[in-house]
Amino acid sequence: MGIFAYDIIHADRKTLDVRLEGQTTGRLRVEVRGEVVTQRLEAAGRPPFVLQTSPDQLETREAATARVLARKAAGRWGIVDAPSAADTFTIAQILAADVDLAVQGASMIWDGGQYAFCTWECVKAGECIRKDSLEECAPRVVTCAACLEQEP
Amino acid sequence: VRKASDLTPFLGLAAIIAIAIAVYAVRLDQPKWDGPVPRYTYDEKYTAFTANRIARGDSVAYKSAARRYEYLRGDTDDLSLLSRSEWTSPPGAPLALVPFVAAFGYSEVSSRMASIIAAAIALLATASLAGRRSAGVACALVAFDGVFFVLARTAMPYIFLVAGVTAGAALTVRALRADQHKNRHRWILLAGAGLAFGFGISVRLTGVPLCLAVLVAVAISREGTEQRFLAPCLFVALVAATTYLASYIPFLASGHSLKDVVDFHRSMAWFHAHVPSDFPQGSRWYTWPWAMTPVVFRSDQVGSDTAVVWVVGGKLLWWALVPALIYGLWRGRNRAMVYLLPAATIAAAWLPWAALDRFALFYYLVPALPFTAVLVARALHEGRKRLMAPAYIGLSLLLFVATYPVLAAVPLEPTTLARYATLLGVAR
Repeated sequence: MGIFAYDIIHADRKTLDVRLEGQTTGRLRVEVRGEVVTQRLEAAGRPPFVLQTSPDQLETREAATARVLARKAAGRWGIVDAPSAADTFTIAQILAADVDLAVQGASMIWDGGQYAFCTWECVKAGECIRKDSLEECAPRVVTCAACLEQEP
Repeated sequence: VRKASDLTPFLGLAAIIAIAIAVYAVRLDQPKWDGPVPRYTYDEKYTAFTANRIARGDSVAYKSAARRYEYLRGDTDDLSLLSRSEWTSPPGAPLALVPFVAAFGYSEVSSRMASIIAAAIALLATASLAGRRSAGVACALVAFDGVFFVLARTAMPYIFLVAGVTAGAALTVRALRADQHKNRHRWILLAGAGLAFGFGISVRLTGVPLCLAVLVAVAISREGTEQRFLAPCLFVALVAATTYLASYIPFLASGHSLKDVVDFHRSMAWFHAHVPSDFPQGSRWYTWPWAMTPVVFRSDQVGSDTAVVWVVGGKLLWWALVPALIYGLWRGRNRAMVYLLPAATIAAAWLPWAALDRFALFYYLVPALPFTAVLVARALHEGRKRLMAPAYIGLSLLLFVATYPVLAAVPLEPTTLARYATLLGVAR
């Protein structure tokens, strides 16, 4: 997705602050609180875009408008408010960065609730979001986001 | 001067071990790692990968839950989407691979060489524990067990745990039986036992109950109490603990502090306390000796054929585990060490898993195999039917040969593979 380099401004177990360089130039701030992961992408020429994920919900915020895109109920993901093409593109950009920002290989996520193959999930989430519906991709997107937190 | 007949058991034993090593070494480069990114066989993606990063001097080798960008600094030809440092276990297994990777370069063969050497040590130790009359039978049973075979030619940790624990037990027994007037010889054997146990624990912390079981069994045995062997056992434990700590010297040398060592243990403890109870291919501890379904390590398409590595136990030895445990406890009721020690070690390799509500694989029981083989060989020797031992070994070898293609990644036609899958209960 045109990201050539990262400048890690700050990184600890639960937060990241990264400058993205390349076709997509901007800044990605990640914060993990409990099982909720908030990723805020600030790119030139558009308002900040926030992707917020939890084990059962995927939502975005842009210019003070919050939208729940997908929700998990009774073990199945369903679309609440289908993302626009522009939203999908921005989520794909965030996922492209997440591949390298997430824990490499495998890790425990959601405080030990699940064992995830993080890098694999992030790569697959990125591929999925570019060609399939969010309903299918949501499990991988939220798993990938959870992999941004490092185990204690 | 020894008679030629005195040497026959040793020559037979040497032949068994030599044949076993030769069989392990054939096609050692299979399955290959080649591809656009390396394709490792099961947990080689952790163990061999970490060994390579240690050999390179990359500090990420010791970092818990490092992010991918930290792995991307420098050469990335060893990095797959699934590989990562071995930060959920102590560093013994990758460290055992490092000299081979450093000397011969990073490849399937160099990484797996260390496993073959560990297997050879485990076989020698099994023979030593079994005693002269049963050594050949015990050794053959272990050498051609399917699980032992696969682990002996894969760059993964468990064969090192087996080697450490079995060698430690054999050296402890040798020390107990050593001439009491040759004190120096005895203490050297005890130090060797401590080193072996410490190495085993540095591979997997599940080695702790195994080593303790061996030492307690020796100390409370009839022979042990007659020789007041408690102090030597404590010495072995001390050397083992020191060896375990010494396995962190490369960690400290790579710029970490003692506090980092403590944090590393805290991180390991957190991981193992949170491992889910369900995971693909996992099974409950009480099913392990009778496990029919293999653990699938690898599956590759080779033209129209498929080459697989399935961890299939040599059923005769695995099914004998519980009877051997009962036999050992029964015969060891008067504290005879030759029965008490293997029985205690089998129990220590198996029963602690009952207390853990976490995912586990049946081959985690492999450290019990040499001790099971020792008791089976002893029972066969003591049995009245002279043909029992040859028949038992013959059947075991037949099972090994029959399952060899799916143990060693031999390309198989779809119909043949389907027959194996049906026979062994592998979902495809």
